[in-house]
Amino acid sequence: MTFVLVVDDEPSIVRTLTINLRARDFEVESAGDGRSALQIVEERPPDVVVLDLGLPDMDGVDVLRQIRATSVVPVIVLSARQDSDDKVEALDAGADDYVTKPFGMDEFLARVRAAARRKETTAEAIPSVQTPDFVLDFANYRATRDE
Amino acid sequence: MARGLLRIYLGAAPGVGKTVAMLGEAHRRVERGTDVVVGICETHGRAYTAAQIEGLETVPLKEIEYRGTSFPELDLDAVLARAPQVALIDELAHTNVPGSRNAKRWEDMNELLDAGIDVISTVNIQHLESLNDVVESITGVKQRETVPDDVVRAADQIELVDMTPEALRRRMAHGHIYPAGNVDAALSNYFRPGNLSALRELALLWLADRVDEALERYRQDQGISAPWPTRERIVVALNGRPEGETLLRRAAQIASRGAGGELLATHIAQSDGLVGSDPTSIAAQRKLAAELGGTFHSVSGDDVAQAILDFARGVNATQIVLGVSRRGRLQSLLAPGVGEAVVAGSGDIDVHLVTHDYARKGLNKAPRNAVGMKRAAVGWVTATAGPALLTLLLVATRQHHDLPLDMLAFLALTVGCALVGGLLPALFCALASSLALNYYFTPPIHTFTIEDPQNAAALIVFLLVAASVASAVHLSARREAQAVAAQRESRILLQLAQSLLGAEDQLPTLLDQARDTFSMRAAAIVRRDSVHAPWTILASSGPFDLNDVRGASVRAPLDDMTELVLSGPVIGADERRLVSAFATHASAILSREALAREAHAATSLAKDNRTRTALLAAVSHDLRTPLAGIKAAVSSLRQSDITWSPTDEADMLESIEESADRLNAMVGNLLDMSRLQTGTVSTHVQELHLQDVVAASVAALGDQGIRVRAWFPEDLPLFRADAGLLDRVLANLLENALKHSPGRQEVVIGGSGTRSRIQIRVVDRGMGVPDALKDQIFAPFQRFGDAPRGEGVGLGLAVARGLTEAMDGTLTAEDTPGGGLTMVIDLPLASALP
Repeated sequence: MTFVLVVDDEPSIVRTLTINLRARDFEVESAGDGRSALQIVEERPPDVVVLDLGLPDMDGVDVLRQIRATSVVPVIVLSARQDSDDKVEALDAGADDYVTKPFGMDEFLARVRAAARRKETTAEAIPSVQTPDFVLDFANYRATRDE
Repeated sequence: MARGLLRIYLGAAPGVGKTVAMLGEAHRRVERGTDVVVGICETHGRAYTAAQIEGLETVPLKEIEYRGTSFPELDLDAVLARAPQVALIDELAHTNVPGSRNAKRWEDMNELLDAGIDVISTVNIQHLESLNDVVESITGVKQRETVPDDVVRAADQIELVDMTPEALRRRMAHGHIYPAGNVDAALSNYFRPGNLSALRELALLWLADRVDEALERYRQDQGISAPWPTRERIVVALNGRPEGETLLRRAAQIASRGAGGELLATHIAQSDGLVGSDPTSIAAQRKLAAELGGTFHSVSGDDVAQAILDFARGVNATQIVLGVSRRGRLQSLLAPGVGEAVVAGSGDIDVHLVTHDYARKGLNKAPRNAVGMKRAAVGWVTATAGPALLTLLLVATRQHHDLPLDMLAFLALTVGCALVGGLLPALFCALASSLALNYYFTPPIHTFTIEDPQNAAALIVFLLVAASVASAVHLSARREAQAVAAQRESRILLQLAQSLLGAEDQLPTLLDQARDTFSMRAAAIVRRDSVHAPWTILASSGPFDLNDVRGASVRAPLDDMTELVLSGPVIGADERRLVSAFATHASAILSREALAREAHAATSLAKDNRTRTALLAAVSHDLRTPLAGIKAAVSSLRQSDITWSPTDEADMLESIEESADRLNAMVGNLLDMSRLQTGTVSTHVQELHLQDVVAASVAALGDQGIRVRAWFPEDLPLFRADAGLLDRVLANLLENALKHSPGRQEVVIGGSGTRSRIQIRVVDRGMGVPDALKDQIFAPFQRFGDAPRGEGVGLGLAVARGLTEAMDGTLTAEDTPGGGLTMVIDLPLASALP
């Protein structure tokens, strides 16, 4: 099951998104601010991140940059900011997609599906390296040593 | 109070129908609903005119006693008390009977205009000050009652009432103008066709000039305004004698031809103090110049023609008006008069020589010597006494010297005389010396014959040398004086430029320097908004007050409405040029300051625009967020491929409702804020119980309501507030408190009362707010603390305070003991007196 991390400080939006994603067989975790989001990304890398830019503790773009420092996970940015300058900034900082609020649920789900497909392609792009002593799994960022 | 509007009906002659026109206009306005009152209307016994007054409200005239007879005059106070929209004042040129408040009726009219009352008035062309002489020459009658030109010029509308001379004569013949019995010979003389035509032409031309002026002004406003130097500037040179009045009027006429002419009257005062003018006639001419719309300048100078030319050049004059010389023809042959000298030196300035009654009748004093009487006197004394004394001396010591030394001694004397007294005394001295030499020192002595031809030649050479040395010395002395003056001038200009480059307060520095340079008592830059407005001082140096402006010795205009005024001694014509330099500098400083102010205004405007753009972005975000929640939930529910479980469905519907409520609250706050800022909040004050109010607010919170605890005595008295507004205030404060109370912490609503006020407290135990920011949190569009930059607008507290104040209360923030923020609403008790 694809694991989606939803980061937004608006509880009602989080609730709606979670209900919808779960109804479509996505696994969903949510975070209400940037720090907890980064924590989750570290502990349990998601397949797709849905990130709202207006977070209470840090700017969404900073969160995005920090995610990008260690991961190529597809990130969909959600924001009420509709200026193209904001879109350019987010996309250049590493977002894969930008959805402006308010948005229709159909469109949102389609974009999540697209992002998940990208994840799979990336994952397959790098084959794992297998040696007698250890296996390097790039898709999951794991190095396993036979013991 | 805005000044009233003035409309004047201008007529060319009595009987053309000005009063009837005025009354007709009054009737029209009454029909339109305007409040019109007749101040005073002269019917001159004409039945038709009297009939026109019917139907208009008249202010009764005031009877004023004078010399045993009672005269009806305009009752100015009654009209002012009545305060109509429009007042009719007939015959503007009328002189009021002594005992009235103002001397002239046009001064009465000005009082009405100042009080904001519109005035419709009438005046005949022959009453205009500047046309007085012309009218007299046309009609043969000296017009005693006059109106200053600028009173009529300042009218907002001038309407010409015109009638052909034939029609006018017919009217008079039928007795419509004056009763038939009064039409005597003198009057018929006045109404000759030639007269009437000339007067009519005068009226038409005068009005045409006004129209042209207005058009020119309009063109200037719409397009590029013409630079200063292209206006006609007319300098009238007055010598203080009675013909000055004629010159002033003529010059005013020339100035008013073609739009925007400027009149400068200048009186050349000669520094030796010998006066051919008397102070009262100068004062009268000064007053006349002001009435004609010009300015009066006093300038000192010994060479009158040169002083006039220097002044004219200094002010960039385009024309000079002089009187034809008084001197007889013989005198003019001997030495050029002032007029001829001015014409000779005028260059590209036109010179008008105006003839007047006193031309070529009286003897004028000869033009002054460039050197000055005092010096000339000393020179003549030296020239006569010197040779005599020297002769005595040399005769007494005859044994010790010869002819060469004698000659050189006399030569030295002549040179000294030239230095002291100028050319003429020196020449006389040379002649006297040569005669003395001949008689006393050339052999044979004591005779005028000369033996030795060499001595004769030497004597002749002596004479020539003495004469040429005298003139050379004289010339060089004059040149030196000019050089010194030029050097002084350039030094002053250099000082001016240097001091202005560095100075902080440039205008006061400039004025200080002007005071020093010209030895003035006080200097100032003054401005007025229009010809009638009073002067205001922009900057001043020394003891200057506004009364000095009228009688100031130097007034240099910077532009239409601003002038540099120097009050103190009269200055020479050549120094006038320097004054222009100061004036130009001052105007440069003023325009630089104006530009700086504009630049500053532009930057703050840009800053405001930036703030506004940021605000709009923030507001749009805050409005879009709940909308996004609604849309997301609604579009989820509408998806056809999924059946939602009842819990999910309930959750989403709840989201929709929550978001809608949030949106509603946001919009409400925005509207309240805008209402507060435009001052359109209306309050409906009632007497309320705190319990009811709190119960309603807590209920409105819904689920969150359990976090709110009310804690106040039950017997709190009734207080006065608007229930709806208070509800909003509490809602905002509670929302704020709940947001800042961590977790599920409680928020307390407390209440307490004093003798006349009640305090309602909303207490949270959150982070609190530092003292420095306690006022700032109430500023609109600020969210203190955890807002990400640029996100969201904090309106809640600003609206709460605004609404509280609209209810005659106050909202302040205090620290909660133990940590947190307490908001205190202070409202009046119902029992307290309002």
